[in-house]
Amino acid sequence: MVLSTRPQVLGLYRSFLRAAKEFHSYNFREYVRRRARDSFKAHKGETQPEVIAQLIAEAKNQLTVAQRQARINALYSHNKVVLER
Amino acid sequence: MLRPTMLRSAAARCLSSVSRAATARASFVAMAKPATAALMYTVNGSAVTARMSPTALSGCRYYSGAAPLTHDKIQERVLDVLRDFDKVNVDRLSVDAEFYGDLGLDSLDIIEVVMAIEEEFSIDLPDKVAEEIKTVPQAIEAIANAEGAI
Repeated sequence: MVLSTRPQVLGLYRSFLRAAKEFHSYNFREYVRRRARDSFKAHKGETQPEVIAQLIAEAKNQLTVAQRQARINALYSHNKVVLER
Repeated sequence: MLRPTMLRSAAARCLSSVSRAATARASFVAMAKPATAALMYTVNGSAVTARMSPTALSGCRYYSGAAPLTHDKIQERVLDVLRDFDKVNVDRLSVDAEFYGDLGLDSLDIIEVVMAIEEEFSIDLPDKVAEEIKTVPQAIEAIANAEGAI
């Protein structure tokens, strides 16, 4: 079970990073990246199939939120933060 | 009441002066034409060659594609990306390093590294290809095969 969900989980993580890249404003972009990383790391050693399935479902849900917000964020212009210059 | 008429007369004056200037120039050209034409005609051959000479062309700008990516260039840039990535074990970084064993990265780190490499070369690798990248040579090969890498 753990082995079979591995590619799916890694695919989800990749999707999160891609969604994060869509954000135009630096703060949101970094937040999504950081949040995805922390939540994936937090459940790194999860072995129970039901818990994993539940987490994957939650991640999918959150991914749609991130993608939608990224799209909305890209509609508006943002000044570059001093860090990006 | 005053203003429109003033404007109209000003406009008319403007127009007439422009047309007068135009006719003046036309007549000047007409007068000067035989001489310039003869001059142009005699100089024609050498003038054209002068315009095509390399010194004249050096002022032009050519927008062509960037130089093609060579294996060495890709390798250098991939290693730079890896060096900048904070979790990479830089001591064991080499041209044939494995991400897992040599560089001490976990699966999530590898995804991040591959994304950083994609960004460096402005490409979007398909998930299938990106999943397969586990070593530096594999990354180089994937970039070399990707279309539009710069």
